[in-house]
Amino acid sequence: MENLGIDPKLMLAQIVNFVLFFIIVKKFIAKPFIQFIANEKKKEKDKERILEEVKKSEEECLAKEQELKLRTKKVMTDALDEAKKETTTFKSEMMRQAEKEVSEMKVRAQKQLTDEREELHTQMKDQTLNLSVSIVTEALKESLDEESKRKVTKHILSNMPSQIAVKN
Amino acid sequence: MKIHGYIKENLKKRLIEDLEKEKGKIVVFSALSLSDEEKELLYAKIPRLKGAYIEFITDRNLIAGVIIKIGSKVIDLSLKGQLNNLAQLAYETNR
Repeated sequence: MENLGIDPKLMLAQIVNFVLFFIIVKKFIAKPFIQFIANEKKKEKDKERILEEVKKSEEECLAKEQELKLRTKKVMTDALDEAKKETTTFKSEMMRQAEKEVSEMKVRAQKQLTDEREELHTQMKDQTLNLSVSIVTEALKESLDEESKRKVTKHILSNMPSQIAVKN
Repeated sequence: MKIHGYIKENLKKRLIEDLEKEKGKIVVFSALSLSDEEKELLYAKIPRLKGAYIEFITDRNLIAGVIIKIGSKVIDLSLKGQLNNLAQLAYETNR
């Protein structure tokens, strides 16, 4: 071996060195590294699982959102229909109320008009009467001379009832 | 305002005296002064007037006829009164 240039002592030392190196590497480097790799793999798996769950959840959310949208749309449609219905009813009610009020106002106005016309008519009659009495009074004052007045007085006194009513 | 008792009593006395005076007072209003014939006609219709003290007053606004006032009572026989009665009747008919 010496002829081949191999030193058995050195070789043994190198073998021992290699074994020691192997043991040390295996014990202090390889094992934590493998553990780290395993942990990383596990983490990766967890990540994938979480991603799956998230995707699933997202899909559920989308489905729920869709359902909610549909429900909201339905509720909105119902509410709109209800509002339309209520508006129509309210409008009809308002129209009926307005018609009733207009009718009442019309009746009141007609009554007021009739009353005012009657009042005016009465006033006109009163004024005509006053004027007529004034005209007759003035005409009698102007037209009756002393003799006529005496005749009228005599006529009144002659035709006066014996038991005349005495007023306060 | 409070009126003194003495003044109040005097006022009351005066009022009663005035009322007593007015009670028996007879006033005849006519458009023209009444002739004896007209006065006789009046006495014939209201005998109470004969012999009583009567105050005769002329009021041209009556046009014709007479108004006899005995105390607080009034007998309106004037043409003006008749016209007023007619107007009153027409007013009442209007209502």
